[in-house]
Amino acid sequence: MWIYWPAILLSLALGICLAYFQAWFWTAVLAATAVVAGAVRSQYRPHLIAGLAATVVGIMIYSWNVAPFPHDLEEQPRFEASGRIDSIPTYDGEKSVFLLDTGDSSPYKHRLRVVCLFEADFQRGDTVHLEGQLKPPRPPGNPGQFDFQAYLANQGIYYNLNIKKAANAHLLSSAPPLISWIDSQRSRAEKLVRQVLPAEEAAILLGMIWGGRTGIDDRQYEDFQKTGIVHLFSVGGLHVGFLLVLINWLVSLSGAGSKGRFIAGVSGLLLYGTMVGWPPPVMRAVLMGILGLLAYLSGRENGLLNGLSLSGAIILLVDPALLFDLSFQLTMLATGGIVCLFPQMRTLFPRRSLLIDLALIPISAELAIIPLVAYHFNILTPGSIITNIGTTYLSGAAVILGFVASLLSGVSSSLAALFLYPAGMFIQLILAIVAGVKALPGAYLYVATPTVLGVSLYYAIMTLAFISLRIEAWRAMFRPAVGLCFIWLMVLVLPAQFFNRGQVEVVFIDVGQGDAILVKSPGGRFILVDGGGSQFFDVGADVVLPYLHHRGIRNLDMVISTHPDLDHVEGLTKVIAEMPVTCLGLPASLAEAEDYQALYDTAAQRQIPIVYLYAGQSLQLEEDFHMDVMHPQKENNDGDSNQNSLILLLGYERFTALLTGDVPAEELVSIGDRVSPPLTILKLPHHGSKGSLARGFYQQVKPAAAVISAGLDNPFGHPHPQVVSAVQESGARILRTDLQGAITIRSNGHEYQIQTQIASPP
Amino acid sequence: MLDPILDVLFPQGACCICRKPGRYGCRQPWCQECLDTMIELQKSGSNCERCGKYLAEGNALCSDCQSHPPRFDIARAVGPYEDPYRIAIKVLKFMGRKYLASQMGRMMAQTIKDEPRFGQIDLIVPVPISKSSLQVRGFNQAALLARKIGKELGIKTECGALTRTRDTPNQTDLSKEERERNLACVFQVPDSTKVEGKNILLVDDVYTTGATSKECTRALLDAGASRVCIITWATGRGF
Repeated sequence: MWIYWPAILLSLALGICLAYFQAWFWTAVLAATAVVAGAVRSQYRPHLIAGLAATVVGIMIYSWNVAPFPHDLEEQPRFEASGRIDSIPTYDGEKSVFLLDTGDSSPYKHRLRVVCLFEADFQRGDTVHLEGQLKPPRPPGNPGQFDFQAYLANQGIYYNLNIKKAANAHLLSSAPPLISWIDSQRSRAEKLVRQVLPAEEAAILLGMIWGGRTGIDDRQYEDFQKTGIVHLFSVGGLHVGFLLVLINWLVSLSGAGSKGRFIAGVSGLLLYGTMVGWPPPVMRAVLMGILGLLAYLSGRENGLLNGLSLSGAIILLVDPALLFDLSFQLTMLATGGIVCLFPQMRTLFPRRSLLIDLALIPISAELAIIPLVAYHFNILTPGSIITNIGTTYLSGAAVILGFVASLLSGVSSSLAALFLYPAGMFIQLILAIVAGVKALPGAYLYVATPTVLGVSLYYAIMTLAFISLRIEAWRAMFRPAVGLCFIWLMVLVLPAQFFNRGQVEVVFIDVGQGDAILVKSPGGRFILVDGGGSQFFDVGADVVLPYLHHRGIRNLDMVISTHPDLDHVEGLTKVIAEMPVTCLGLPASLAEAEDYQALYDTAAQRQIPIVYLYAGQSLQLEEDFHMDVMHPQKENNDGDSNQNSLILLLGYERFTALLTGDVPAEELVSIGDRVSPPLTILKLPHHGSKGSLARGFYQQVKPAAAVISAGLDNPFGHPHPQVVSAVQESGARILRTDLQGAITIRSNGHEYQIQTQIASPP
Repeated sequence: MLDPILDVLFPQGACCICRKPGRYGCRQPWCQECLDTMIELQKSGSNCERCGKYLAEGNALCSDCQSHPPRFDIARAVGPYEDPYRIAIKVLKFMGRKYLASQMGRMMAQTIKDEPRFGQIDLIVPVPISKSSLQVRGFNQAALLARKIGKELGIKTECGALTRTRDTPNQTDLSKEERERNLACVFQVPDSTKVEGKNILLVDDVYTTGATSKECTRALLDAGASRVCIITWATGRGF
């Protein structure tokens, strides 16, 4: 029997996809095509049978293993669960997180993600009894946002179990001795690294040795992302390779034969995999490593593509849902890119040079993951090639030194420390390279999220290009395929201004409690009105910027702050610090407000000109698109910041939108006569608070839709029920970011469409 | 026994000799063209009656065997030490493709079956390699071939019957005299009871000047073996 594993892996993946999308029609079409093709061309029969068999296996294992996504997940304020801890608990200074295997008969409560608001003193493998609140994770509020709910569901997790007090978590029995020994070795090494190295270096080194980003500063991690070296923190092939080199060298010192090396190598890899908790890249790399060792032991030729495909097939047979896991996709594609593209690209260079190889390897990996990275992270990193040339050996050296120190930490901590100091030095060098590359022009570029179809298209073209090099008859396809890839990339980097021309767009971004409104003019200018803000998380960095990047927006033509309340201005400060902005608009009457200090400082630092806005101004942004300032007056310094909130009226032919900041009812009523009804969109002021209730105004301006931008279950009780009912009485459709997530309104000036991120409840 | 499983895990996608793409495995490691070339080469000259070397002029014995008749009965090889035979042995030895030994051993066994002058064989013994080579390569290619031949012919293989007492410089760059000096008293039979009175088949990968084979033969006969025959994968050309 002769099996071509890459084809088997692809067929298996196809079967899993068919089962995931429940595309039974296409399954039937494919099966029929295969049968007909087999009947007509008998020489393809064995291939078709093998492919069909693998596809059927894929469909079956996915259907058996994965429960369909439930739509009736209910919150339970008090829920008791006992079970075994299934992951290495992490603690970030605020909360401990781990996975719990409950053994519950319901597939939806079989595995829970436990969040303790304290440092839980548990280990992997412990059996515990917990009591807390059972809550399904919220689906993403904004387009392009990371879908945490789907991510967890793909791991068989449908609920978070939130535990507030340590008194509600009890240890029933400790982990089995082997697991607890392995984890204690790991935590001892971890403690030593933290003792010896400064916090920043320690966090980075630990991230490189064990994987994960716990303790690494968010800004620092963003820099790693921009320079394309986050792969160092998802331990994978590089680490397993270094580990094998280290083990092989140690074993060769003892003079063991090939069997000894095989056994030592395999046990070392299994031990390491267990230590880091078997994330998909480690599974992939360890399987490839073991297959490589087995090929060496048995004297077989092990093509890397064969090893990669076989490993992938084994992983999918064990857990088919991993096909939809980002880290599995990234590790398979990046390795696939290196395995398939690198040897081909190398033939373009007549001279063998280490520098060329060092550059071609990250290029091959990058080419293979561009669409996936663009899809998930909206970033393109040409600079990563330079970073990787510089950091590959440095990180390798740091990882090997870290491994050696970890091994020695059990023997003598001062001896181990001797290996850690140079590791720390290498990390400093890596940081210097990262800082240097990040500052280069064009080192990274934000790109809009491509469609799933677009991503698939890219991979189809890439596969075609690869096959055309292997099969003589297809050779003519090579150049067109490469050309198509190039065009694909060109389209990817097109700025957001190019799309949806002639349409005005108003997006109420879901920032929780707060306002953030993106306006796109028909001619492709972008204006951001407010940027959200929260005491609990960085709204600007976590929500607003990712949304702008998702749209492929690289610069804003104007940023407007309606008033300086935290839930409107904090995120804005973050946005102007990160993204080029042409000008910043503030209400003239609040120019002196103390709460604007941070915004002023950042604007000064980024040299952003400030425009003061007051009633009576009309900004003619484009021929037929204008923005009128309705309120406040230029010299109106009485009243608080809410009373001095900007009110802006957007108009594009028959489409109008009134953005009202946080103004109270009186101010709203005062402009009523200057708004010609009917209004298309009214953003209700102050998140729908009772103080902004203006029944007569709603009747007067007759909005077609009223938007409330508020946080889910916010402590202020926004929006007030009376406001909601008054708006409903006026005949307007109510749209709420707290219930429906981001709200997007598009109009060509005559018609408009409303899109909500989360489907409205019936 | 594991071979079919390993064939599935590690399918060979290219001919191990000319890298022509196709479906290969343990039973068929090379393509039809390479196999045809090998068969062609087998008929590319007459063989010396004693040492099996390929001779151009149709003599019965090569000049070596005429002047210094070897102590072994007969030596034969599957083919001449030229591509693809040469590549096959290099791929096996230096790229560690041990699975090749299976088909190569089968072909060596066939050569023995086709040559009645090998007569009765009681024991198969591979030529040992030096400790340092074993350390680097991880295996003795002659032992792999010997085991496969033993399995094919149903004869016992004794890999430890002959040992190497010391490491010797590589034979490749040495002249005939230097090779003989290099190997003097290198091979030993640690337990002569194993070979006493037996007809022995000595297995090696390549027969060039015959220095190794002759030295091994000497050690085996001195230890009491009654007769020694030699089979190698490839042999040189001579006069």
